[in-house]
Amino acid sequence: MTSYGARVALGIVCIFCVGLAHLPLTRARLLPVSQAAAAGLGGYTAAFLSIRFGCHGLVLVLAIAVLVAGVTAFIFGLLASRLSGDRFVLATLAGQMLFLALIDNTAALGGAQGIGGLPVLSVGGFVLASPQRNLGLAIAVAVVVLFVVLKHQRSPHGPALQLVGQDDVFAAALGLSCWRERLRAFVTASALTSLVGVVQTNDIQTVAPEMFGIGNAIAYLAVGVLGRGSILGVGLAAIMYVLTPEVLKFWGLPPSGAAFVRNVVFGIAMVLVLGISHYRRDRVASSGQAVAPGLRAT
Amino acid sequence: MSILGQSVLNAILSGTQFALIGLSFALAFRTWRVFSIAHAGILTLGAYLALIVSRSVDVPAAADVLVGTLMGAVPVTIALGALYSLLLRAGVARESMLVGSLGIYWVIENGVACVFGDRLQSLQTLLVAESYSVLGGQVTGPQVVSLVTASAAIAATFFWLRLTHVGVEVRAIADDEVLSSLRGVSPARVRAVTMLASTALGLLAGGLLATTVDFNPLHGFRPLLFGYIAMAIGGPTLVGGVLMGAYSLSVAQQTTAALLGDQWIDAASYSLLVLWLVIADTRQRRLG
Repeated sequence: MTSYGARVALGIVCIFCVGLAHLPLTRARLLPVSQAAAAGLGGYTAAFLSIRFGCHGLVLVLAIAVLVAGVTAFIFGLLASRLSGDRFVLATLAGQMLFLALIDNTAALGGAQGIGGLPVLSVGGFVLASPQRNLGLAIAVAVVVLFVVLKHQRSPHGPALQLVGQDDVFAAALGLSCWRERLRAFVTASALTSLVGVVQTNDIQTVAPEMFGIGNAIAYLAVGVLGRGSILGVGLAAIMYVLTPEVLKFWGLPPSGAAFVRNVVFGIAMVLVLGISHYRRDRVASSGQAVAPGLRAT
Repeated sequence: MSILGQSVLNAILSGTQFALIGLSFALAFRTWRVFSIAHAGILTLGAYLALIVSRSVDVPAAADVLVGTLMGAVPVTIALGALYSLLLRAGVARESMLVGSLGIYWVIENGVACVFGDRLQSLQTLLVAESYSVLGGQVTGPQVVSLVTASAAIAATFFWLRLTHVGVEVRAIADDEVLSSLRGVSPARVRAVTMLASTALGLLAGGLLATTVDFNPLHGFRPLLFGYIAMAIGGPTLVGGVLMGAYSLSVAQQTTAALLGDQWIDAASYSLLVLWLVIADTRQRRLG
């Protein structure tokens, strides 16, 4: 595979991973806008470990990135997870903006310029220096994310979270702790998303606030919404998101213009899918089908 | 130049901008019950419409902004109103409406970027701005024009809501939609009118902001969040509450700038937003 092809595939796998990590939340209609910040926590942790401590060991960097993102998400989630509906979305949006504001003003993390020329990560003497090798790392991360998400979905917490997202009053009446379910899923999703940040940072050996900006946050959200709560859907949405500008460039559009057009198309698709899916859900609900069929009494 | 005087001036200038943005947002939020992030796109459109006018006609910047607002108000209202109506009719939940409005914002931001590119733009007045000494601080000509125009728009909205029949209906729907409907007020008609007023105020706010700072397609996002914070802090009263919230926020920002430095204004404001959401939610739960 050429370097260009590997980079495109890497982009698809990274976006797929973020969508996948947030799948339990998306299925429960909890739509955080802080995915880019979670990825940023991973990316900046990798960069900081590298420049400050000379740490280039992949496993250690990934473990610390997960820990940093998990702890940060836990602290933020203690507040945000108590909220539901549009307040939860808004709190995560504020969290995303807060992350950017803090990074922009932290000189040790390169401020608004970011940090360039980072050393590449390695594992057991195997240096992850090429796009092809980073693609391999991204696929390994995707497998881990898939495993954790499926494990969560098959545990009692999966259906419980879904019920919390659909009707938190009813869920509380059943004895579920709504904020605890939200917090668990939010922390897990953020910790998993931080792995993507490490991969992205290692690929371009640079970390900068614009890599994890509000545009990326909306893009991740769009992929989650268009994926409509299924793994296959998220995968297809990620493929379309990355390949659309490539196709447009092939037709002669400049790279930046192609990305803008892609975003316009995805924005329209996001609004349409939200409208259509809710219309259908209302019809299903009115026909009497169960809203959380996987939930069993415990 | 006195630092205190400059801080007071900055608080007045930014507070008035937040009030105009917050009022634009509040009109839509209170009557449509939609957290409309798409209003950030409206602010952006206001700036770019003023830019289009400034490139076509040689008139003062404030006139560019007003003409741009008049040009854009009706088409943007129709487009946004139609989209929100369709989503509401489809039974979309509030959080999904917020996400949908984020999608609409993304379309506007990237649509603008397709046409104008993502580089910084400037209304020409910035290059020739004179400054005046007031209260020991400095204020530029475009800032004075922006302050006066925004204040006039806020006052006009206040009197519209207080003195006209439609204004009373708007306040009634904002207060209690079900009860107002039973009293014969048409929510659909009121929503259409408020969306027009909200859009016009948003376009005006975005345009006025562009006369004081350079802008790009992301122009509206940050000010909209500040406008929302102003509305949230201010409580349920439409104009008075937004004004109180806007000036409270701008004073808090200037205090942050004086104590920690300008660069921490955003971080402090977003922290305030998160805390406010938690406090509001806790209060709502306690009230049942």
